Amino acid sequence: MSAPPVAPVLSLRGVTKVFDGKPAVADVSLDAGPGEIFGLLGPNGAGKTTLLRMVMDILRPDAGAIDLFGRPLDAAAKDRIGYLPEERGLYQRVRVQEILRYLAELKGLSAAEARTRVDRYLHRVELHEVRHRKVRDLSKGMQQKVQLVATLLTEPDLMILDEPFSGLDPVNRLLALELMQERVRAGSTLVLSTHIMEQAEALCARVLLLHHGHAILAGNVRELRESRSEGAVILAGTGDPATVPGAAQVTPIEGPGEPRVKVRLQPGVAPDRFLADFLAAGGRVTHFERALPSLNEIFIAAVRASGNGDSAGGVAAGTSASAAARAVPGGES
Amino acid sequence: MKRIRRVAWHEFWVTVRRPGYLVITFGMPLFALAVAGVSMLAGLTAAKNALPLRRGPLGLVDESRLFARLELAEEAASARPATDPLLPEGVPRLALLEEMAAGAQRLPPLRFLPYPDLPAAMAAVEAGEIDDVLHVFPDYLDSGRMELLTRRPSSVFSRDGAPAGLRTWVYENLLAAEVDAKILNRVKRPFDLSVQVFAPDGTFAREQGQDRIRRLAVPYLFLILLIMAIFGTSGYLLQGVAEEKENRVLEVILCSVTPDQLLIGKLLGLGAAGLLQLAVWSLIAILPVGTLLAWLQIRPDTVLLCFLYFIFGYALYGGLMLGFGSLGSNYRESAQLAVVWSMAAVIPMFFIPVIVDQPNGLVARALSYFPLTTPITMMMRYAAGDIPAWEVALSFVILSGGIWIALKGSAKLFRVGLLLYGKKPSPAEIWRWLWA
Repeated sequence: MSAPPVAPVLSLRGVTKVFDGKPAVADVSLDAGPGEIFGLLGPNGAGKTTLLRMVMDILRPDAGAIDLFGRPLDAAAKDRIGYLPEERGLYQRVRVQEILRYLAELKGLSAAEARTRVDRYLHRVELHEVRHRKVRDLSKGMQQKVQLVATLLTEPDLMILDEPFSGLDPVNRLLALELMQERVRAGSTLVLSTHIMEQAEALCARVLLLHHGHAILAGNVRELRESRSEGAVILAGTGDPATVPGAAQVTPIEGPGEPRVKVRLQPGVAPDRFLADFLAAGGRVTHFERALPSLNEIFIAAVRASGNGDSAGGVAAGTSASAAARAVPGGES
Repeated sequence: MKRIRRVAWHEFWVTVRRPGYLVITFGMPLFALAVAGVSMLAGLTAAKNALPLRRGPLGLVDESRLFARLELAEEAASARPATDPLLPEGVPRLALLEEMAAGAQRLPPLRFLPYPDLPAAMAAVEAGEIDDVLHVFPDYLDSGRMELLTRRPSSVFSRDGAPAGLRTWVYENLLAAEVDAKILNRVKRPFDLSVQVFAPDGTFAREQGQDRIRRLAVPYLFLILLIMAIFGTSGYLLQGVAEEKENRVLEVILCSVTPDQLLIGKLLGLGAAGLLQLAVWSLIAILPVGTLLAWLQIRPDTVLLCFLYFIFGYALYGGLMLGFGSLGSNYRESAQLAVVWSMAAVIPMFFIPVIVDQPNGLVARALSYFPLTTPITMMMRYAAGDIPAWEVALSFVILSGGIWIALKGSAKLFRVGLLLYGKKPSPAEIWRWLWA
């Protein structure tokens, strides 16, 4: 991975938190750079929330250091963070605009600026009509949107969102995604904590996988997947790929839709070479892609390789999780 | 500081608009006035109805042959002092009190109907001619034995169950022929005692009956006021933090403020709501009970001290309740965890007679020097009598120390408790967190 071109927005060094003698987070290091979407992944109970609470200074680490914007966390740095916790809720008996103004002012906005921002964001998420309603009178989805607005209306430089899409329907999920990406395009960093690997795969440039508090895998998503490629392609169309010289093994892929096959290539055969040979042999192609393992598959393999993640040094595929996560991307896809 | 102010304002504003707060703030004094009014009316009605019941003559079976005078005229009127010590001087008599006083004046003379023996008297009772029979035993002079056979139980206000006027009637019957009329009068009313109280300026002031009532009423008044104000307001704190935990809103707040800022903001905001409540109660109370307060002669420095003890007491108990209450997952659990502090606060109530009677006694002093009982004990002592100024100052020093320790410990628990869900901590765990 390339060297970081800019200073990280969030930097963790050997962060550890122990509860009742058991490590909830063990020696985790990571860097997230400006304008990056960084995925913090892992199943429930992996230590993601504890890690984020330490970043927000809600919990104190037992060991290690946390820097934000190049210096240890302080009140000013905290104001530049938008945090959406997993355990989230709102004052149920308070009106929507009142609670949003309160939270905005707690983040350091003036009363006038808070009013303006609240109005603007409520219009943006189509909740302006219900601004005078009490939170308890809103649907769960609406409450989720209010939560998201509360996190984003200060236009933070660092967004830390713990399972931000939970409880949102597809339309509102898209709206939430647009809001986050707008901020990322404006230069904000997004640390996305989720246990849904597909979500992270689609959104994040880099990820860190936690299991039982240990970082078991970290790095650029594309590089992680490519480095674990079996040299295979997925193909749909007509023709027999087994007759093409570069094919080593052809396996049908179960599932709905058009029938597809996975073709494992012989060592040294490039996918484009195989495709050209297949077409030359009279084959027709409606779908063709390199077969890369999903993050989910990589995670499962990493957990197994780390001996169920119970050992502190469990790092998959010979890559140091901490070292890989420290590399801040600059222009990588 | 700006964040603390904002938290305080939010807590204040949200609380003062709660229906529960509004009901207690405005409804409670009105309810108390209604209860007082109803009970006074009930008392008046009872007085009106009860007194005429005794108008009928009592049957008398005198086996001792000592009671020649069977009727005692105007006994009640002669036994009553010229002025009524319960009514304040210079204060216009309320219509209700006038009515009650008039009721007392209508007390009829005690009249007897003699019967030769008990069966004859009981037959008269059966026939509905009389309701009560006084039976004087033959050995009365030696034993004092009498019995009252009656359809009605004795008044709860009667010292020994004897009908009003019986004692005087006995004196007159036994002594009228034996002693001079003046001596007989002294037996009936042995003395007209005037208590002169030595004042610090070297003079003596005559103690009135109302002075004794004041000495009891004023400490009680401030005791009730302080307890209601401190624990009412602390209750809002407990309720607020429990609701925030149930709503899972705390972590959102904690990403903007520190636990200490949140704790102080809550204490200030809800303390202001408590003060507002006190002010409203006082304003509502001034109109109907203003004359009573004037009669109680409550001094401005007593009111000022009540205000200060509220502030200090609330900071102490509110801080403790917030710290311990934050360890619960819901209001019920929070209240269970915080109840120990309420128990500590009511300790002075077990010693009210001792504190009021001997405000500078050992018990009163000991309770004054223990922070958890300082505010209520000192308020009672100050209202009950003269307390040295140095003791008042010392009480605030003790309270300040107590508040400092309480807030320090509570802040630790608050930090742990805010994110503690689903498990009520054991005393051992709380102890460990306090010393962490």
